[in-house]
Order: sequence, then structure tokens, then C-alpha cells
Amino acid sequence: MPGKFVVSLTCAKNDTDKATVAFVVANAAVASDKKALVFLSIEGTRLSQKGYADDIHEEGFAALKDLMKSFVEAGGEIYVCSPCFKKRKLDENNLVPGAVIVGGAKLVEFMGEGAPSVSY
Amino acid sequence: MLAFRAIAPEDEGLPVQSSLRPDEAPDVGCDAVWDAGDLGCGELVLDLRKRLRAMPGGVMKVISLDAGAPEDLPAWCRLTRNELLHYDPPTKSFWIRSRLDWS
Repeated sequence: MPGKFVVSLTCAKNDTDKATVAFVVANAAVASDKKALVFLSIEGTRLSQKGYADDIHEEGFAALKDLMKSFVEAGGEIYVCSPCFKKRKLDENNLVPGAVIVGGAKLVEFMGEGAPSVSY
Repeated sequence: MLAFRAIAPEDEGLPVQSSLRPDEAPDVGCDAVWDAGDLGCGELVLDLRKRLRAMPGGVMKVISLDAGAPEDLPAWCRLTRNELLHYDPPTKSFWIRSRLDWS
């Protein structure tokens, strides 16, 4: 069943449970043949940095870095909110594979004709 | 020789900066240049919309330092039917033709 699916994630180490579950759901979406997108905003933008997620491993779940890696390898996309990224002075030369810094118009385009979404 | 003419936007509070010459890109002329600096996301495209709306059919060279602009401005152009004529990554410059049918 084709279609899009958006997972909006605003958390990182301030709520590792939410960050982890977001990528679990994103993996479910991409595994279900959806054109899946994780939108990282607010604190979630920190997950765009290589190495940041390496020590996040919630009990009962795969390690977050592995969830992110498998998501991208399966064709999922990661959009990173540009102003949130800039506010936190993150490094655009240290992005994890699959992460792209975008502004709102890019997200609007992706979702513009309708896309179910879930937020964490 | 490429013609250059700075077109003032409707709002006088939005100055068109012309410090960069439009003939830096040999194949694309422009009617106005706007150095958007660090503006990004909604601020960038809302300001850009005001400026392009003031010059239907004209070409504006936009310089944007925002890291999201290379993804965002092409998407915004597709959404709004303004034509992205050219993007030059080294100078972070976009040449955009303003649509004719602004309402």
C-alpha cells in the first residue's frame, strides 16, 4: 500500500523513551512500504549529529543508533529543522547518514497533499 | 552584458541589497538581488514571497546562508509556482523568476 508517513520527533536525551519509540514506529512505516519521513525539531535536532545517539539504548528496544541506521538504509528520510539546528549551534558537517537540514517549506511540500503523522 | 535593475519591494522596510553583481553567474541575469543573510525557514520564504510579489515576471537573485535553503527554496518554488532558474552552491545563490499571476 503506497503512501506517506511522517513521524515528528521533538526529543533527544531529554526523553530517550520518546526518541526511541519514534524511530521504532518510523521503521514500521518504512517496512510497510510507506515513503517514511522523520522530522527532527526542537531538541530532536541533536539526533542529527554523528555520535550523539551512541549511548541511547532503552530497555526492551534496539539501540537508537541502530534504529536510525536501519531506518535510513530501508529508504527512510530524516529532515532536520533548520532554525532549531541553528539555535543549538549544531554542526552541519557532522550529520548522520540520511539527515538533511530543511526549512518549513520542504516539510509542507512533503505533507502538502496529505500524509498521516504521529508526534513524539 | 546583463542588465541589472534593483526593484524595490512594496514594503520599503525590505531593502533590496545590490552589493553583489548579477553577472557573477554568466548564464543567468536578474532584475534584483537580495542578500537574505541568515534568514531561514518561514522567515526566509515569507520575506521572499513579499519581494517576488512586487516584481511579477522578474528574476531575483537570492543569496541565502541558511543551511536549509538548498532543500527549502526549491521546494518553496515548486509549491508556489515560482520558477527556480538556477542554483549556484559555491555562492549560495538562487535565481528565481517571479510568477505572473499573483493574486
